[in-house]
Amino acid sequence: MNIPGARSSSQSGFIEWLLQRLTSVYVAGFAVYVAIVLLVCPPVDFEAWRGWFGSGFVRLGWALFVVLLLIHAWIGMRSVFMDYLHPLWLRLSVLVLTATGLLALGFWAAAILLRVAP
Amino acid sequence: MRFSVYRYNPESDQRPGMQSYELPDDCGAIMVLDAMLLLKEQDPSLGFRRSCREGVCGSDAINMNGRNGLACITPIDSLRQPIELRPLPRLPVIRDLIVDMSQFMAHYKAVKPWLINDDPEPEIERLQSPQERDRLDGLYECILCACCTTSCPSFWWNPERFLGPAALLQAWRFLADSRDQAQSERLADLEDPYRLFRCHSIMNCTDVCPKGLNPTRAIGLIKQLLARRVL
Repeated sequence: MNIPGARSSSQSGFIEWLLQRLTSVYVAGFAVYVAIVLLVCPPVDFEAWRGWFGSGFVRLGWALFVVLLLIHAWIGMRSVFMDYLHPLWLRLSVLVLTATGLLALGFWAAAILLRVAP
Repeated sequence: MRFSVYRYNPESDQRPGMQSYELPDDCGAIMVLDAMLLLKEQDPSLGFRRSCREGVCGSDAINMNGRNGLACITPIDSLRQPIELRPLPRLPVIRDLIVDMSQFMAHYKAVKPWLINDDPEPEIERLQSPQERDRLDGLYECILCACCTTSCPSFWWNPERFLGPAALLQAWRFLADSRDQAQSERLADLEDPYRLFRCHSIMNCTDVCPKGLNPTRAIGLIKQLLARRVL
């Protein structure tokens, strides 16, 4: 069916590709920051660790890290499924399972970040 | 010289099979195509395409020992024996080494491989600066042999929807042309998840191109151009 004015293509391929790259910049940058903290001035005990982890900016950084990592993972996994899983029922089932798993990880991370609030 | 050749005639054979052939070592064949012509003298039922026999027409693209290439410019000495000759992967086989290129050509046509310019035609020609002309080097030389597209795993998984490296190289050839006026429309047609973005830079295309072209780079430049429009 030809709908007047409708474009034959959507922008979703490009937007996903761009998001994948933008999220990776933050995820990689934050991972380097955490590695440097752990190498240069590692928290000496649990209290020090909690103090560092619970401070406002670090917690915000972790929250952003988790959200962007989940977006990055979702786009990447979906891309793999688009390549290899062709029957619609199979792709849909695997996508639902993946989304459930990623959301569960997100909620778990949120629970941890809320619990360490000072 | 020993050969193992893919044979299949859909009209008479239940399934494809490999047939062994032998040629004397001093038969004079230098390139794979020379040997194939001698094999055809031995067995006239063997089917394959060829035309210019010097790497210009692209008709004799086949898979030799697992790697796509042009039979006419592939030296026999460069291949381990028995030399396995197969049709280009992932395209329907018409007979033996002859494949149906309809899908490949449909993708080529989909990128509108012609200049779109609505200005009145000039008296002589549409002029370009030498620098603008230089941008087309490495793009216009494609002979559409399909070696690249049929060695691309993304094309194997989604042959109907992913345009493939050959068509995308041509998409960039017209996006990069200073005389073309349809850049936005051309880009908009490539933004969906399949036509361009199934490419994961595997680079099989660049590895096998018998003309030494680099479709992966062209695809990267299209993605860059898309990104530059919004960033």
